[in-house]
Amino acid sequence: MEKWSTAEGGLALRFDGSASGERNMQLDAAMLGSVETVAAIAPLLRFYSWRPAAISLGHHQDAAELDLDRARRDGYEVVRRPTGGGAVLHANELTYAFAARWRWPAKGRRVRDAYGAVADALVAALRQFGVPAERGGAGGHHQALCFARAQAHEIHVGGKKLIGSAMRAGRSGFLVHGSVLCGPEHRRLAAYARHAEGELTGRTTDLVELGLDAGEREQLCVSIADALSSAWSEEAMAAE
Amino acid sequence: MRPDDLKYSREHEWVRIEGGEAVIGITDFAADELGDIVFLELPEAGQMVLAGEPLGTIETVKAVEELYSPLSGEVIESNPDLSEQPEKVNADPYGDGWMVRVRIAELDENELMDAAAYGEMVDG
Repeated sequence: MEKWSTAEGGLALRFDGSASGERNMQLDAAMLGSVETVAAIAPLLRFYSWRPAAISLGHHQDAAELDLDRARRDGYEVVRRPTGGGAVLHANELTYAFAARWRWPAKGRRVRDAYGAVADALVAALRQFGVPAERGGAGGHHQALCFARAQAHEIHVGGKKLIGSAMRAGRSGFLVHGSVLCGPEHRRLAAYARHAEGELTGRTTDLVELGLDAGEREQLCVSIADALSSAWSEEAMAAE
Repeated sequence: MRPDDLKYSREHEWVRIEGGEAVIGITDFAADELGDIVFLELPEAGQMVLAGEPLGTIETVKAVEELYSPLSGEVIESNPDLSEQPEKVNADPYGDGWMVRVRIAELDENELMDAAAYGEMVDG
């Protein structure tokens, strides 16, 4: 964990390059393990990408929902996430993983509150770049393709999903990771769905379509870090 | 709403003791906090579970969370209906949404609460 640097507000930040899906999921699981076992740990935020492009399945998702043999033959790595939700094709995206101790350890509703607080931080960061991002409502149902619909506090722009995310809740802390779309490549996943939920075309948008250039996308990472750092600051927690 | 004949854990499980066996589920509070449950991963018959250790996992739309066993023992059966109908946990957490039946090896009742104490913990 030597790559971590301390960002403003005490959050530990790390920019990784691309790695295999298996390696990325190991690192994300290790982040959860750290916040579960170290009481005084700062929130951890990691940005990364995927090489080769990979399809990730939700922890309990039935693999038969997709033709994964064909996907592998087409060169995609297939991995299982420790988190919930449906499948994602990770090709051209900005991926984040955030792990922290619960903000309200003694209270109930901590899953919903933490998930909502992360979503609010993402919305605040996107709005700094003029993106009219909104948070979807709570609830929803299982869907084979994560990006088929924004649900459970996920981020959309004008009804088109921009960020798909999922959580693993632990006893003392949690992991949320998510994909901020940067191009249309994720839509290829629809071709592998056995029970088509329809095309992803028209249901999603991405940062390039929304007008963010490469420099702004990098800057967005810093804004996300700042927003999450504020949300998990001692002041924010004391105000709850 | 919360049955008086059950014991409750800090991790929001309930326990119904029937002789040397115990039936375990999650409370209405936990079911409500989790939201719509879409998958459950429960132990198989014959498996040993340990008090305070993970018993299985529960997935709502997007979030996966561990279930913790309130006692130690051997699993007799898991609710066979929940793999196809996990929503029963939300609809009837103390009835059709029961999760696991365990042959009790060790149970520390001091670690569990009655309905009134649990209500005080979650409702304040």
